[in-house]
Amino acid sequence: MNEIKRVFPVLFVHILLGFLACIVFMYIKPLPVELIAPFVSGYRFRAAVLLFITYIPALLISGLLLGYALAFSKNASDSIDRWSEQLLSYLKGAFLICIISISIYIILSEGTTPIMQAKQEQAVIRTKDYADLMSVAQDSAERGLPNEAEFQVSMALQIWPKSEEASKLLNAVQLDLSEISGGSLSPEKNTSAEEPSQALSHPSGLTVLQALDKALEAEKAGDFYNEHYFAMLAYSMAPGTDPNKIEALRLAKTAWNQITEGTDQLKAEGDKELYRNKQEGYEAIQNNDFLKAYYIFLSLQEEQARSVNRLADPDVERFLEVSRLGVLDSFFFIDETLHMKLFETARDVFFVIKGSDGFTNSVFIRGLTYTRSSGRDMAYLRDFEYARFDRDNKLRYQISVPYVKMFPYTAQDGRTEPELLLKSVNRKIKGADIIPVVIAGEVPEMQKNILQLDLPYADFNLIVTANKGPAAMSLIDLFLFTDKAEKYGFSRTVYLSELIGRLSDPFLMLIVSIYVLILGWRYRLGKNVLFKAWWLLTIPLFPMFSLFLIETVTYFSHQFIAVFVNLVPQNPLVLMLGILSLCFVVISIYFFSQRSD
Amino acid sequence: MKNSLKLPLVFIANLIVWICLIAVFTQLGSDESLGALGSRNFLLFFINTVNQGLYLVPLSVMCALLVCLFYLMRHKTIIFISLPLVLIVSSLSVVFLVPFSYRMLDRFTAYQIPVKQGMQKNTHTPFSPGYIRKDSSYSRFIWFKVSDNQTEVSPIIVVNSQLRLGLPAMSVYPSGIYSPENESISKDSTVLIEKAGGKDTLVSASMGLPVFIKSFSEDIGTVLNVFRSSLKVSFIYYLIIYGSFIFSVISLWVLCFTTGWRLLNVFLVVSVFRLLFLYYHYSSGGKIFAWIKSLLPLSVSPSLISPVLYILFSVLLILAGSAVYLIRKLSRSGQAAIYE
Repeated sequence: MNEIKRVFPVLFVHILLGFLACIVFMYIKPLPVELIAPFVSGYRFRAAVLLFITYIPALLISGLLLGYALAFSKNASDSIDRWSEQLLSYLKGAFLICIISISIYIILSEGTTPIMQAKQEQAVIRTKDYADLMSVAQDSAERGLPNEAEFQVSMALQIWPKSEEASKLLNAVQLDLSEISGGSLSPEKNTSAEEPSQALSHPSGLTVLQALDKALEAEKAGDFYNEHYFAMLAYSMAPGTDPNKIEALRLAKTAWNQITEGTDQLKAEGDKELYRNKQEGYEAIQNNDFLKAYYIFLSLQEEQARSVNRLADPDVERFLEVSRLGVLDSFFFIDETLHMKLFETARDVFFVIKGSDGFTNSVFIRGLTYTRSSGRDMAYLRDFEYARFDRDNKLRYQISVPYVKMFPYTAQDGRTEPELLLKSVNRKIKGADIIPVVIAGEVPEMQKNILQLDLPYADFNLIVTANKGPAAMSLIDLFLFTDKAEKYGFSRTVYLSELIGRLSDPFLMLIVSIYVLILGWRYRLGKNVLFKAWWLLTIPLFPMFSLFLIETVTYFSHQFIAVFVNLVPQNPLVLMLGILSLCFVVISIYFFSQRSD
Repeated sequence: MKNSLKLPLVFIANLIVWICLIAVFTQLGSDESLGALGSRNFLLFFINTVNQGLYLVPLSVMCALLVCLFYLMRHKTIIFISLPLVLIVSSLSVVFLVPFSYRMLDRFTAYQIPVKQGMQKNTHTPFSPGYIRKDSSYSRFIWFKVSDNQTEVSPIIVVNSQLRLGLPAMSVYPSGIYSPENESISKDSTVLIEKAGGKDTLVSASMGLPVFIKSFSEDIGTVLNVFRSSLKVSFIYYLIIYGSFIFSVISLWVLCFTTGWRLLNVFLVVSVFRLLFLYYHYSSGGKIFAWIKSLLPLSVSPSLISPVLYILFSVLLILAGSAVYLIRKLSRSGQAAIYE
């Protein structure tokens, strides 16, 4: 295997020069897309890396061809018979180099390429967002809407913090705002998407006994609302045979009596009013009308904040949080979505769901932002559109929603499906809600606020990736998606062909590598022939020839795959890999059968 | 001696291999034949392959000749026997084989027409239902059902992601009428989908030819069309056109001895062979062609410019090769004189 020592430097130089050439080419070449300054350098570098990864097979083939043609010159005048030990040794060495190189190529193409491609897309999308935001901000400023302009330009500055254009516009609109507010720059910062108070934890994490303990603690402290709340919680959690259930009910009853008695004992009119409101809010919580409770406690909190002593009522604080968490089970706050567009990872997602009930649903999402809160996966879907068709393909209804919040929902049968909250509410103003716009048909009452998509939650991510095309999917995603593709309106044939193509490519590279080994042997440099300096000028012919060879072979292999997928749709992968294995064996034997001239 | 006499066999064996390989592989790149294979219409695939094989005989002759040149480079032969043999097999191919293949091709087309007509009936239908397809870079569509008579699809969902300002991107139409003539779908005389039938965009999107092969195959296609049409003009004209091209291919033999490294010589030969096809564009049109045409008297046909330029190229290559050989001969002797 001494020839490896000769081949490896040639291969290494090939790869290195190839990488440098890709870098130089991508930094010289005009950008194919419009980009703002902060993305340009990264985009060029990633484009160079992606180009380099594309050319790795050709560089590998070229390096092997040149390297082995030179390495074989050592034995140019030796007499070597067919099936000789020496040829077997060459073959072993070549296999070793090929397997290492192909492994590196697979890691780069399957691991690095999808990440880099996603980043390239993000750079283009962010540039477009920046242009859109600046255009809207400019327009708002011209129309005398400085608040709107300030918001838009602030978002633009998040994309490009050093933008002179955006900074200038921000200064101008802030000046306008200060003039409007009478000289002082508006200190009001955007309070949207307020972080929930961490002072109170969600009570659902408690056990029956813990809830009872808390109720008893509250009883001792004379906090009857909390006593009732925790007692009812323990009551609802305890199974029918649990003796704690009776105790919880007793405590809740006692507490409720105290609450109702309390109203009568109050003398001051203001206190009476506060107590009545608290009770009304509390009853709303007990009736699971968390939205009503939220606005009651919110108005109480605001009232307290406006009062002279500004003392916070712990009951109001606690139940405002409880009702807020309850609201978030069925709705979400509009302000949560204000900055979401900046973090979108996918756009223009379109798919259908051929449901198990025979109905078909079609879904379009303009933008998608994945996020995580309290250890839970969630996503915001911008400009969500949904149409539902019955078994006869008649449109039942079609809706459109500006923003939808999506969670994984685990049903009783253990299946986890995407659950969509369609209604968003205003954090401060009651009634200023955003509800789905019905474009056609009549939406069933059950699906007006919450919609469950009839697909496993894990499939949703696959569909989003599949929307970018089969080439953008990782091998694992392709493997998982292929058999489900038809259910979501994608062609199994296309995704299966891509999967087989990707699995075949390393085999093809191996086969072509052995073939160039044969070429290297047959057209090796003579032993007494000196390598002329001017021959270096012809070296670019090697990668070009290799590129032509590998592209041709890959193209025809993909044509074969297309034929096999159509002819043997059940198992074309086995057939293709079988043929490739046969080709590999034949070409290896062919190399082994070479001899000296 | 033995190697020299083996040359015609090498040529014939390679000719058969190249005809089969090129015919089958070009058919795998054809949507029609691929569709025929997919729908198990093996007769159409076979007929198309034979048709293509006959059409590509001139190219296969050139490829077989190249292999013969490489054979001459790799094996010790008697040059005064092997080279005339190459010239003889080339001449026979030009004079008999290629005109014969064209005659067969004309006859074969008659068998091909009825089979193709049957196939066309199947292709003039809307795309299969249930798949999302692209109509343009921003528009996608799907329908769930095609009527039995293949004229109506329903319901149609069209997504136009370019629509902004809060307008819904998804439009639902209860049904649409398919027009086989322009392969579109319309509703109340408004075209909803431009490309809704015929060659399936789902398949063709992933079957694009690589840039290298595409440009090469386009150049080959141009030259092959010229060869075939030249025979329709006259046999003499065909001999001039195809003969000059073949002469250029044979003259590449000189490049087999450019350097002492055979692999480099092979690359040089293959590269110049590729350039010969590109050269046709410049020898039959463009500025150089116009300039030469302006120099010639009106009595000389401009169609002769291209073959003359090919012959000129070959003669210059042979002269340059002979000059280099003489220089080497003066400094070295024996086999070393042939190579650098």
